[in-house]
Amino acid sequence: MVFWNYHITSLYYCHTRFCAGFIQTLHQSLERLIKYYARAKNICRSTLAQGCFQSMLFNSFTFLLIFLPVTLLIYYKIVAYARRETAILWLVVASLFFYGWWNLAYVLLIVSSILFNYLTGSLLARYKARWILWIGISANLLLLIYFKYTAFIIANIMTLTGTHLEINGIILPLAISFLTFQQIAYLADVYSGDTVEFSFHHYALFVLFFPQLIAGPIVHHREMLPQFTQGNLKFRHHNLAAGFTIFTIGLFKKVIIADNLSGFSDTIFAAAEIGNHLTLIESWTGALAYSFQLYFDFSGYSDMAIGLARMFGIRIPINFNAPYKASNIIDFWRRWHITLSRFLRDYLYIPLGGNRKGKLRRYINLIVTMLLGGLWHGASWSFFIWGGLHAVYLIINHGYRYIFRAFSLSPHAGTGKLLSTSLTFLAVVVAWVFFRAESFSGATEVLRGMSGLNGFVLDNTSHAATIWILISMAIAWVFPTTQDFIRSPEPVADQHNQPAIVWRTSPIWSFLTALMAIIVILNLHAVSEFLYFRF
Amino acid sequence: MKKQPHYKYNQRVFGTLSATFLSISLFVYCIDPYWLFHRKPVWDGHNIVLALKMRFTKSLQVIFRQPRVVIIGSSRVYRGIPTNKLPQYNAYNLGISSLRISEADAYVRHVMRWTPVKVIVLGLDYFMFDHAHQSEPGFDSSVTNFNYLFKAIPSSLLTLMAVKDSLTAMEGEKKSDGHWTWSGFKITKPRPAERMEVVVNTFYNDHKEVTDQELNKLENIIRQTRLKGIELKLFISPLNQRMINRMKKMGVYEEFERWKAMISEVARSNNVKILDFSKNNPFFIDHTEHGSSTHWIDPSHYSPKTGLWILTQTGFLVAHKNQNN
Repeated sequence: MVFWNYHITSLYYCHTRFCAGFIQTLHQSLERLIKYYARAKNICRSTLAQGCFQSMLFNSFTFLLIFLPVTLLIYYKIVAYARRETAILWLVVASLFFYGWWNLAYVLLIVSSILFNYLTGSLLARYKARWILWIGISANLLLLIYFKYTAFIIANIMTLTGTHLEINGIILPLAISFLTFQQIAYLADVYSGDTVEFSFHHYALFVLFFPQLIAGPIVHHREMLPQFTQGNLKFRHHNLAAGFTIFTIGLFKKVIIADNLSGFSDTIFAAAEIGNHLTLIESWTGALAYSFQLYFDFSGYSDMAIGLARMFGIRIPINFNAPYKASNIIDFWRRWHITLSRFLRDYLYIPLGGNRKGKLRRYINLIVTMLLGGLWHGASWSFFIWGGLHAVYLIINHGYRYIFRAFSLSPHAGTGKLLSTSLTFLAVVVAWVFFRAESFSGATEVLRGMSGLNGFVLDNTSHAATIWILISMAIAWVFPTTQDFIRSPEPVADQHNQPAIVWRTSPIWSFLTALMAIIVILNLHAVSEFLYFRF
Repeated sequence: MKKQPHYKYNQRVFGTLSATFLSISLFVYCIDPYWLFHRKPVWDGHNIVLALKMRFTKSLQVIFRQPRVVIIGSSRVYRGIPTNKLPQYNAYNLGISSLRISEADAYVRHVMRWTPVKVIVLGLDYFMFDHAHQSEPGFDSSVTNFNYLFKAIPSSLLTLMAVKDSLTAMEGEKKSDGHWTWSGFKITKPRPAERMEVVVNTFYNDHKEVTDQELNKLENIIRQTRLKGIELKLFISPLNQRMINRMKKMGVYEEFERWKAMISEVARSNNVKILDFSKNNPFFIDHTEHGSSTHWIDPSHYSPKTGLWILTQTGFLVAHKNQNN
């Protein structure tokens, strides 16, 4: 009995001690949890209050190490369970998260815009009323004008009238220019009966899909929506292989080439803005450095967008096709920002009359299209001038094409092609000066230097700048485009060129791809924005 | 079953990437050039990287240390305030070379977001409010952003910068002018006499323009800390007779007094006490003719002994009889 009493007492004692210990541990854990919860709440509250977000860039650790792997993994897990619609929904959520990383409050704006356009599209599909179309287009344009052009309009009114008007800072929502055009195109096509009915989450993904959300391409619903219903979204190794390779090439172009060139162009254009007289070499260095910076920035971004989409088994259109190889300005605009040119042609130039109403009207339509295209890039007179310059170039191009045809001449025979390509490039570089400069005076200062009006001094311009520009020229004019060279298992784009170098799945190519990715990631400590994010 | 070529391709690419970055991050983790992960890293206190990349390093160190007390200021703070003497407070010395008031504002917000800080002590210097210099090279304005950590921590492990800094840290002993401590304070080696005049001559060579923008930054710091319920202690760094004479000689003394009046007014209007140690300190005579003295490393930087006096005045330490000797 004593033994049992002792045993029970011991058990009771141990049990009590164990329980006490357990409770104490639980209490401490709970206290820690409460502390961490309070800290997390504090972090979130201060983050929301201060609005201290930065957009999630493709060339950032947040995107490469966290967002992309997590999104991909979960997407394919869902697809593996044959849940297509859930996978689409997941992509919508991920894309909203991607957008909201910049500013949570503006997610409401973008969702409202999508809802509005989807409902308007549904009404249009049912009633085919022109006034519904106009309301839809006007609402989209008003939103764009308010956020993007209000400050510009007011600044000009103040300059013209000498008055002073107070406006609070209007934050330009990311991607608004691209979203607006995409949705306007959708409404116009619904009205003309060129669409099939789609569910809301398919439409939402068409607008929000994160690879193309922030800086294009301006995808067409015809290109995207059928892929969500009929496309094969299952995981395929070739999609991952090709997609990752294209993405890595794009990242390399942006981080290694474009970012290195930006240092040279920024210095020179900044000097021009403060009125420094630039020498011939300096101004040409700045203009060429910027021309190639923009080329590789945009080309890199386009590759990344295509590569990312491909990793998810989705194809988006090419947006960039070696534009500096163009032999004339018309050809240039078929290679640079292809989807923007397509939109402007189909939804502005052609509705204005295109070339169907005589030569004079054609040129007027061209001018209007290019001026508005210039303004779309930014609320500034320098973008307007840039668009105007390209309008003039296009008119001249159409003009001499007519002359050549009239005399049965070919402008691209023999050395003619080299000359025309060089001339086209020169014209484009001159126009880029206005695109880049922050003011008209800055642009004219650079152009003065380029034309030799500040003297022909051969100064000590950086050898590094010269080397980078030469490398960029070689890549832009000699190397095949990414879509030409990634052709396995089937061509990414509809190209008939046969480049000398073609990507394969051999060990050498896998090593090269890995090497490019390693070089890029090792250089990611200074994160820089994409130039086209600003539009 | 023969594996698809694309499968093998992906295997090779991702395998190479994983192996490479695991190796790099392991190497950098072992060397720990920014002193984030190990209490006693391989280079033992003499690490020139901590001086060269001070803004980057300290922005991460303060998060890893999770202090309850943070002391922010310029090089006067990091050389002069011995936070290693405050283990009971878990204090961190966020003194940064040539810190500007805009940067201080950013770091205060950074610290409030990511640490359980309860007290912030801000050492103010006249040059911090120079309108012409809003920030110094190495300052990353994204330090106030929520995703700064997502950028900075991978950068401290996976980048070429981290690898280079690791190699630099390994050879740092010969080049460093002092010995860093875990709490962010640097024990500076005594300086020779010939250095004293050089230091004096680098100061007050031009007039500083102090505008509302800088004063607003100070006011913002006061408001933000009050909103979060964090105690803020402000002090104007101690100066000595040699530096005051220098100011008078260069004709900036009146501007300095005006600056003190402006920031005192900002503090007073926000019900915050500001301790003026510029002339009200028992070490006004510096005794640096023969090099570093008991209370001054050089005419500009007060020594840790003076720093202890500051900690006493600000309430962190209890005064001892012989502390002012």
